[in-house]
Amino acid sequence: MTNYARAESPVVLTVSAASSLTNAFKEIAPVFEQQNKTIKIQFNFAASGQLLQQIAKGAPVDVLASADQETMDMAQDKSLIDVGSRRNFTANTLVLVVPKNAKQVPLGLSDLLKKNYQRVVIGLPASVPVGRYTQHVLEKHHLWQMLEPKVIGAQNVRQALDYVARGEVDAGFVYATDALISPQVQVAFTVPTDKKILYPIAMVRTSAHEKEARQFLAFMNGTLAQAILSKYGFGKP
Amino acid sequence: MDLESLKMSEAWIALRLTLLVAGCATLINLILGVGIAYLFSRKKFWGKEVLDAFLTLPMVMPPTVLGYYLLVLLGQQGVIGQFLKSHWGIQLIFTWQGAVIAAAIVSFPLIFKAARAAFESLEAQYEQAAQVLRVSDTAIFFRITLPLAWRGILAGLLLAFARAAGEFGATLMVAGSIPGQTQTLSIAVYEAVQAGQDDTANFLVLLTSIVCMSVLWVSGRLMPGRVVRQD
Amino acid sequence: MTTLWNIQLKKSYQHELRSFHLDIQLQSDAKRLVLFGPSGAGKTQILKMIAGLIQPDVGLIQFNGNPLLDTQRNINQKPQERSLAYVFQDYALFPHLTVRQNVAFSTNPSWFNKGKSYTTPGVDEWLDKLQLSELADHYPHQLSGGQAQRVALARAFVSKPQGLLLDEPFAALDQNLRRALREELQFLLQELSMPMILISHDPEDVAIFGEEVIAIDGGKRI
Repeated sequence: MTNYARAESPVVLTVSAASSLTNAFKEIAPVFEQQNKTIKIQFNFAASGQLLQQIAKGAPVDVLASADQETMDMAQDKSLIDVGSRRNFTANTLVLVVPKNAKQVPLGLSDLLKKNYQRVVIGLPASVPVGRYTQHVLEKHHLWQMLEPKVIGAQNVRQALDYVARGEVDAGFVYATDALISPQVQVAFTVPTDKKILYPIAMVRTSAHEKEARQFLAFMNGTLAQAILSKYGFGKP
Repeated sequence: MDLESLKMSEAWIALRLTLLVAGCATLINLILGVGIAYLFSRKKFWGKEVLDAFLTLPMVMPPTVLGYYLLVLLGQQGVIGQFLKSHWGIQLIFTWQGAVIAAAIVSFPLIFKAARAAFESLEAQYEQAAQVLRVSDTAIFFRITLPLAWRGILAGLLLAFARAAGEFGATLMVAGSIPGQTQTLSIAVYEAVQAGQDDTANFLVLLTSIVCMSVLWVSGRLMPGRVVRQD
Repeated sequence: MTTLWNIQLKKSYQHELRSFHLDIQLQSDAKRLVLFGPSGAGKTQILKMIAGLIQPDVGLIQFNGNPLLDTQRNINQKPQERSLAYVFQDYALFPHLTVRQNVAFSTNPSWFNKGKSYTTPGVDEWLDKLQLSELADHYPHQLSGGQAQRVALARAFVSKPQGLLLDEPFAALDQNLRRALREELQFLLQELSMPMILISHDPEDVAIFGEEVIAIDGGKRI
């Protein structure tokens, strides 16, 4: 029984999400919209740092999902998010990937110092979480300074992945979930990080659609969303 | 040195690199653009206007599209990229030379079109008079054609330099962003904003604005309003 | 016995809806030849073809028995090689060079123009003969019509041509100047004994210079 009396246009929810969440979120959106017919999701994917800057400069975003705690902490410090709504909703792992047809596959981080690895792509640590994770790990192993001349900076994790896929670089640091979606790369090994990589999600304080934003956040922690995330290689938070 | 002042010194590196890349790109375009424009203005050949449109394409194409084409052609899996790698061990992606190529391609039409218009608006009788006076065609180009057309060419040259200096999309895809190697001013601004480094961003924007205004000032000096008229 | 000029030219022009057919046959021994006719008759086209600045569809041009152009035998000398000087209707003086630099132009084969002080005895002689010495450092836009015409002549003569082609040389000048310059030109031609072809639509030019006159209209002799 359709109600013609009051046809309201759907609420458009703007969700800024880290690049690594692109494929999973795109699959989650229609499922959410099915269950919440009055809401339409509009995505904005970029490096977490860039997303933060956009919100800081007043972009009308309702939900922020970043790839690291640091970005969300900065958002919290600037009073950009509703603290009560902040949750960790998924997890990821850092991996080293090489082109599919690579002649040599590195077995450990120090292998990257060898001459046959001339270019290694890493997300720009200033704005890309995967780059920060990588820098922490490399610094811990005292390899950061020595690898610097070989480093190519990427604007976001998907660009890093693309460079490896094209063979423009010899190796790159991306998330396990990114490696899964590209048939042109192979995982050399998983890179253990000090702290587990946890993705936080929160409602933006100035959101004009509080009710709908909270619905989305609740959905993200529900079984359906988690199952889809799992399918793409994300872990439990 | 704290992180921000470190970034500021990188700003000077970015400036130097921008001038280097834009300078090389403009020099290449000067020779190629003027040469090809001269051929276009003086010779008739089949398909001339189609070729002209093709050469003007980089001016209207989105830089990212251009960057993508370049990446595909010049990269490891590209036709030209593989040729360069196997014959001379040259890899253009992520190098300042790659940035020069990207900048040169996007700004080529600006010199080409301006030079072609300048040559075509030159009355034929001057070159004809020079021919009858027994001076070789090459000498005529340098002694008559170029001196009489240089103002129009210069206008195109300055626009091309400014365009090359500001190039972002294609350069980012082809050359990446490597401080000291390929991180030009516009890319540096983009990253500073992304990283929330407003002070650095402001400084870079100021630097870039000064460069642009200097170009305009120089052009104003080189092209005075009055033109020598023959009555 | 060779004639001085043997000229046979054919060229078809298509411009939008109009077509124009040039078909000229002329042989002459006259040292002063005038091509006379109304504007649009094709006279300038003929002169430019003789100089090598325009190409006919089919043609033969012989000067003193020397073939400058023979389309049948694939002979086509470049304008630089034909040894014929050409004076344009509005003189075509190089606007960025001084009078001296203009006049001296043909003496310098290099890729770069020489400075304002560069000169040769021939250049000095002609500047003197045509009363241009005081104007040597002026630029063309600073000259009067009559002065510009003399510079064009001096420039032509310095190149040591074997023949002279003039396209309406006096058209831009007033009556008095015309008379004065006609006399000057006559005097010079007598002194140099150089063959000349002159284009004009002015009957006075014909009377003075026309040892032989060829009337042209619609691209053909009439």
